[in-house]
Amino acid sequence: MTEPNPLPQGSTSERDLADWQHLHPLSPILRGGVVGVAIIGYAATQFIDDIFRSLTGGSKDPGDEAADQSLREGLGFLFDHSLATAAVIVTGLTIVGLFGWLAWRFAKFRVADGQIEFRKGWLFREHRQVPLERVQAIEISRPLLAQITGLSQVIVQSAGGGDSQLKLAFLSSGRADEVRRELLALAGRRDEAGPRTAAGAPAGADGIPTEGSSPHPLSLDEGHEVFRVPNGRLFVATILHGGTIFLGLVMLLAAAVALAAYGSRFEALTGVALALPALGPIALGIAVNRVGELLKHGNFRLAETGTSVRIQHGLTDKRTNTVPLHRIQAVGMVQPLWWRPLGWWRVKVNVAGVAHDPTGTNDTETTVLPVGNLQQALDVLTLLDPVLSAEDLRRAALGEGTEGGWTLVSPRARRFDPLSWRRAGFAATPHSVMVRTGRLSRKVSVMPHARVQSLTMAQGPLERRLDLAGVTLVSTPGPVSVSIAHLDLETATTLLREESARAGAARKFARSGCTSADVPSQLVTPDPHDER
Amino acid sequence: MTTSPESAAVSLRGNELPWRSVSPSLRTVRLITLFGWLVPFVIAFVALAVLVTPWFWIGAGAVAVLIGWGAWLIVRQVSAITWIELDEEIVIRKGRLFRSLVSIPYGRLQYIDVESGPLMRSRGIASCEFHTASPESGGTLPGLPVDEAEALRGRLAARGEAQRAGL
Repeated sequence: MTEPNPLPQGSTSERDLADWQHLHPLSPILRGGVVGVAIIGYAATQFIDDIFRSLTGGSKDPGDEAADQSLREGLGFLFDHSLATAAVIVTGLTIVGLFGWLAWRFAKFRVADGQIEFRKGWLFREHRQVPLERVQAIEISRPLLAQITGLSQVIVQSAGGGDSQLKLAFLSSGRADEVRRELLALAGRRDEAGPRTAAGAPAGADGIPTEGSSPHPLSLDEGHEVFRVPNGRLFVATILHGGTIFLGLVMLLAAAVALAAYGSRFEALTGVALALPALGPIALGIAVNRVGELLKHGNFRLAETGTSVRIQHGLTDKRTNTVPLHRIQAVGMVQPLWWRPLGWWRVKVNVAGVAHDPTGTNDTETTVLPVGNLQQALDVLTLLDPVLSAEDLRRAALGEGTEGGWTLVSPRARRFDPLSWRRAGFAATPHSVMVRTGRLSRKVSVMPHARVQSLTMAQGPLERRLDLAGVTLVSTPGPVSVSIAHLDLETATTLLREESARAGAARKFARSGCTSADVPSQLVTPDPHDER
Repeated sequence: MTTSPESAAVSLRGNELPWRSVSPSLRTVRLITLFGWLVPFVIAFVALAVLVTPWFWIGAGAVAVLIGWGAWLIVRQVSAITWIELDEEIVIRKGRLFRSLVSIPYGRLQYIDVESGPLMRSRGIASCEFHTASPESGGTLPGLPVDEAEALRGRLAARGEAQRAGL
């Protein structure tokens, strides 16, 4: 089973990982579990349906009756030939078991020669390998079934679009942690040891308010917790959403109409009761969406290890995602209109290779703070990138006008941005570019010069008549976009030229890997191996 | 911060730099494609107008107008595509009504695709697509002469190697 190890390694666990090894024997069952549950669920609903129908005195639909009849006949046949039934079941189970066993037998992984490899498949073989220096983030996920059985899956994210992740499903939880730690250590040996702490204010030191928890070791692993989102606050934040507020308003309206028409409280309640089913599908959709969000972000904890942050979240599907700090491409914070009275913000990041799903189902991978007050958001941002100044960020979050080195969109843009033209703008620090937009729902995006992938400038016909143009600093795919529209053409051109030069200088600096006083410390870790 | 004199002159519309145009063959290729798609419709409409009812002349006229407009657009658009290789980046400008400019640093190039279909090949042109780590940022430079496209790819790949930056 274990092939001879081509690379003699140092520590025991490394040697361990360098051999081909199997996943947990339960994993085929767990992977098949979803299907199994679906089948059982389907059977159960059918069964319940039958009982219900017999209780209510049979169905009226003759078609249904016919189907019922044939079902009953089929079942009768099975009951009459219990031996045959048993044989069918046993054969079925054996085949499923055999396939499961084969799947387990042929699924192997190892970490050797500077890459992690995963093989699977018996007829259709698949071999996937990810060089360790391409590892962008490592995630441990525990779906509900896995939680019950004490297993975890390790997901290795690498740069390269949607399907570039390598999933080890499943390992025992302890083993999964070990693998993650080893992978991080091996990957880190290649590209960490960064200059981070030199510039960094360690998070605990400047007193991050951690909602009643002093920095203490995570139960899961090394690193200390810097932040925790109370589920109560998360609940309120999740409810405060465009969809639910719309729903609430509609119901209020219905109540008001009913009250006006009939003048009694009871009728008003009836109005609400009538409005709800009328909105049925929408209400259901909103509810499912909100509950999903709550499940995803529940039990949110953020920990830092010095070179990476670890995000734990999930009420049912517990996930632990480790993102090396130097893999973060851009950071952003948003404040939806509904959160403004409470002063809450959400912080998101772009990480290369962590696929961003525009529908938002995969958003948790990029959310480093689902909800927190401004100070907490600033603390998280400065933890992610210690070079950022909290003062600048605060101005970006709340500020208006040109104070503090901000350049605003052109006053001629007023007809495009009647509300936000006094706020929308950008500011460049030696380290990064900050963009703020939105007057009602506020939004701030920050991108280090060294992370700029490319620059674009665009001008539509209307903008052209007003001599305006927009500039976008293109990042890797993710929720944060650094884009500012309706700048004065002159300003936009200057921004493009200057940013091009700044990004070039930052890249050169990152390549040379030297630290000098006049060049700001970047979170780029110089790495000759990193050929991305 | 040193701004190279070249990149300091990049602008959406200006001509301070020696911007290069793409091959005029691109115009031909695009016009042929346009006619290939729409002329059959004109013929069909004319046939129907003659055989069935004169009302179909309206359709024929509409498609003819569409062809004229498309041709005018193509001529304008192709002449609006300009590009330049600077010290550290390649800059591509496009569009007249909706102008856009994309500046791709060599160090960010992941790979470059050179493509040409049968029609383009017959006119001796190819299109270059530049890929960075972000799918949205890549630029396309259509209609370069094939050997020029290959040379550009070789040149940029070498420069990219020299200026390569980590993600």
